[in-house]
This record gives sequence, structure tokens and C-alpha cells, in this order.
Amino acid sequence: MVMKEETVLPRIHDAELLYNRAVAPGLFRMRVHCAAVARQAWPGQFIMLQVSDHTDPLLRRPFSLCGTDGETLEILYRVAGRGTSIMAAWKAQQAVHLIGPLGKGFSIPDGMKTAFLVAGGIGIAPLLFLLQHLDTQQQVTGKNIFLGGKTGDDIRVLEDFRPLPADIFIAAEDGAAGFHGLVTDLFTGHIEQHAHQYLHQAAIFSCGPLAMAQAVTAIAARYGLACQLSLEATMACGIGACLGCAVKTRPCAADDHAGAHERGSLAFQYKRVCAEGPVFNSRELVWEQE
Amino acid sequence: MYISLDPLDPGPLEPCINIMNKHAQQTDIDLSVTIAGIRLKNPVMAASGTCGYGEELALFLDLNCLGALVTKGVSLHPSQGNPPPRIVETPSGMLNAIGLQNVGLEEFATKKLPFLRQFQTPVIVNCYGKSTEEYTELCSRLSAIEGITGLEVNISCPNVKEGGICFGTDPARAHALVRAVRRVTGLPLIVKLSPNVTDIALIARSVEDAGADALSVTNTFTGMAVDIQTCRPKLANITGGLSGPAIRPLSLRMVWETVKAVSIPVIGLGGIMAAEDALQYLITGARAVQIGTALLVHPDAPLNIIAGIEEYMRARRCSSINDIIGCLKLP
Repeated sequence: MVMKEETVLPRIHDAELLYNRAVAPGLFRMRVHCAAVARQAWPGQFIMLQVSDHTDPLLRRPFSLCGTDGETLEILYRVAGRGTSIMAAWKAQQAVHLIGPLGKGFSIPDGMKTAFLVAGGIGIAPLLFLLQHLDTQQQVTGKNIFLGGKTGDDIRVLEDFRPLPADIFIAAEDGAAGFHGLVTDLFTGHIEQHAHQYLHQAAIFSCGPLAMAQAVTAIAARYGLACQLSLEATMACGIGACLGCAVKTRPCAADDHAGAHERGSLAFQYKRVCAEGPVFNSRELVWEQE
Repeated sequence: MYISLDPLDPGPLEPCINIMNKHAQQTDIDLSVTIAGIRLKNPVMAASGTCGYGEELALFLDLNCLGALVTKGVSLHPSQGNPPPRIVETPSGMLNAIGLQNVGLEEFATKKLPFLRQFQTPVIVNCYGKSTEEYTELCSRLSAIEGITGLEVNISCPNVKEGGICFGTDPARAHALVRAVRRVTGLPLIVKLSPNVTDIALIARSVEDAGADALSVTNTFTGMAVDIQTCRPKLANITGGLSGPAIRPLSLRMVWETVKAVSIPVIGLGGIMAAEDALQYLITGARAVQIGTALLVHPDAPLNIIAGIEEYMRARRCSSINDIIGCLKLP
């Protein structure tokens, strides 16, 4: 596995906003100057952004990085609540306070030649950063983006990032663009057609709503493909202290502890999305319906 | 994680600059307080549940700057905690229903405490149980472990043997529990009170009578939030504990009622974000304060709060924090 070579420790940073512009209705692309994070962040990692100088809204907001260069980093966000509404009004040159880089990002499986990046809506963000990294890996010859959304607007965001070093497949549930339906159905069809070529040398990287993550997990299991999911969660601290962003995972024998004494055997174990994630192996996750 | 306290070790963790100690050397302002026999170099502590076992916070803050650190609540056995969602933001606050997830006594002692022992800061272990027997066994075993300066007993827990009735909301039950714990520990015993009571002074007195050395006032206020689109509670646990600036006036009022009722030291907490907030508690009579939710937003908040208290004292030509504590002027 290729992972980040050394652990980079997160810090509190004061950064400068370079631009903050709408790329589709309610979707914004924000770039800030923060060399310390930009130089060290790894695809899949995130930052906690302070959205107010006051106490309301109180908490920082987590955002996956969607790209970096030597000096600057970028995020992509959808205006969905009070925090992001405040952010949408931010202007260039203003100060931005953030903590990062945070969390454990994607890892590249040994010998992977083909990558499938499967995203739902704004879930494209961490995958764009991953693509930026994969583009520097010569052995990765196949790079495919599958992006789905409810409407054409959800997909239009990708236009802003073109040209992208990947084959792009899009699906809109309202039929406005590309495949008419769910991106997971489009993806399943593609995998079925090419399954024989991809076994043992392909991996899936995905980020999107719960139903999509579950569908992608099922596809990965059916075709024996490695699959990593970047999860979204409500966080209070983002640094691993509060245990607020718990996600149910299968206990592994190696780190058997919490609850083992209580239950005799361990049915599941909570992990922190912010610290052990946000990227998890799909086989590790326990979905509530199980 | 890599942490080294060796100043010659050029490890990846850049040492946080200890601003407070530098200030202390340069000025003759005395911020130190004594609580339950524990000497704190300043009255600003990190509150339980917001700083884990110190490891995460140490990346952003030199733990030696703190007056004391109160650990995440430890129980006899590991606990998985509540299902998610566990957190919801509310106006100037947040509700949490973590469910006291923790690694349990054994792992705390072997894997978490050694990290905290590296610092000079007093380590106060927050602990809880589901029955009197669990509390006493836990506190007795904690008392035998080296490196623990004091205990903060969380009594806002349901007693499973009494049908889930909270220990901390009934004066007689709170008294019996603290008396039982007092018998098994020689460590400084701080009791963290629940604010979800009609008369906190009654509980405070009963806990003092049972042998507590100090009180932490208060824990979170039980609250609730509902998603009107799904018509579901926003927390999987339905209710949770409210913390943050929203509760500050409520907690401060309870600190006021408590300091009038007891003679043991009171530690004030609830929504402290800045020095002004901490000073309100100290002036009201709290001998120290704890910083909780603010740490989740600004992990370095204690630095600004300590510096702000010092600045306030300097402006008022005040040399000892003890001159501030309880200096409330009444009409």
C-alpha cells in the first residue's frame, strides 16, 4: 500500500482567502493560501473551518480538500446550512481560520492499475484531490470518474475542473445529463462489461450519500474489488477529542477493546470518522440495516 | 503519535511555546490556587470529555500551561457509547450524547495515563459507574495507580440497580454514593454535580457532608432538538447534554447558589469561551474554572483565557488571583 510517508500533525492556521466563487447553483469553490497544509495534505484529508468569530454558529465545519498545490488548498462546498451560508458571502483577501490537515486519507493499493472514483454530488471533492495524486502515478493507467447527482446542476460542477486526466461518466436522476438514473447503476453496468479486465488490479474510491456508499460497497463485494469510502459526519472538534463522529465498524482482532468485556464478544466497534477516517475500507463498515 | 518532551529531540512535534510560564517569570502576578489539596499553577483546567486523555489536545496546546487536566470519564469496563448521531449544534451551544464511550480502567491505566504522566500538570481522572459498587471498585483501583492527582466523580449517571434513577439528582442518593467513594479513596475527591436539579444547594451540601473535597459545577443541561423535515430527534439518543455559551448564565447562577451553600472549593464550568467568562465565575466565587466546549472549537483557548485573566489583574493592580475569587459585590 502506498500511503502518506510520514504522519503530518495538524495545526491551527490563519490563512488568506484567494477566491470563493459559485460553480453551480449553491455550489462553491474556495481556494485559500495556507502553505503549511497545502504542502503536507494527502488526498482524503480534511480541514476544520471556523465559520464565525462569534459563538453562533459555534462549531467549525469539516471540509475535504479537493486539491492543493505548493502554497494553496481548495475546497468545494454546497450551501446547506447556516455555516455554509456564511461562507458563501466570504470575499477574497479575507482571513480564514482553519485546523488541518486532519484525518486519514486514501491509500493506493499495491499494483493498482485502474481506479474508479465514484461520487455522489459534492462527494466529488476528495476524489478530485485523489485524481490529482493518481495523475502523478505512472502505473495507474486507468482513471475513471463516475459522478452522479439528482439534477444536472449537481454534475455541472465538474465542468469547472476540466480538463481532467480521467474518463468521465455522468448520471443524473432527472435525466438532465448523461445516464438517466443512479450513478451506481451506471457504474454497475460498466463493471459488468469490463469485470474480466479489472480483477486484482482495480480499486474503487467513493464518496457520496449513504445509499450510494452502500450500493458501491455491494458492487465492490460482488466483484472482489478493493473499495475505500470517504464518510461524511457531523463533527464537533474534528481532532479526535470529543468522540462525536462515531461510525460503526467491524471489530478487528488486533485492536479488540471497547465493549469486549461487557458483551463477551464484540459485535461492532465505534471508530472516529475524524481520526480513524474519514476514509474507511468498505469491508470495515457496519451499516445500520444489518 | 510522536510526542517527545526532550528539548533536544528534533521530532516532528514543534514544542508549543509556553507563554504562561514566561509571563509568570516576568511578572509578580500569582495565578496559583489550591483545590482539595491540589496546587494549580493557574485556575484554568481542561474539562472532562473535551480533551480526551490529552493526546489530541497536546498537538495544539502545551499541556503544562493548564492548571489541571480532567480526563474523559473512565469506567470500570470499556464502554461503546451511544449510536450516532451523537452531536448537534444549537444556538451558541451543542447537544451531545456520546454516552460516556471510553477505553475502561485497564487500558486507561496502561495506555493513556503514561502519556499524561509526562507533564507536570495535575491529572484529575473523571470517573463514573452504574452502581455504587462499580463506583467504589473503580475509585479504589484508581487510587492505587501512580500518576493520578485527584478524582472527579461524575454523579450524573443512572443507577441501574435502582431502575436508572440518577445518583446526582437526589440528595440522599448523592450523599450515600459520595460517602461510599470517600471510604475507598485517599485521593482529593472532586464531585461533578448535575445541573438538572431543582435545588443544587441541597445536593451540594449533602455531597460536602459526605466528604467531598471540592465540587465541579456543573455538568451539561439535558436538552433536545428535533428535525422538522423528518420529524425525528436530531440525536439518536433523543436527548443529550447542552454545553457551550448558551448555558453560561445558567451554570453561573448554580455556581453562585453552590458557593453560598458550601465551604469546600467550587470549580465553575459552563460555556467559558474567553477570559471575561472565566472571570465571571471566579468573581462569583469559583476557585477555578474548566474549559470544555471551547476546547472543541479552539484547542488553544486556555492560552488566551489565562493571558486575559492576567491582563485583567494587571489592569486592576491585583497581584493574587485569590483577590479576585469571590469578590462579587452585591447590591
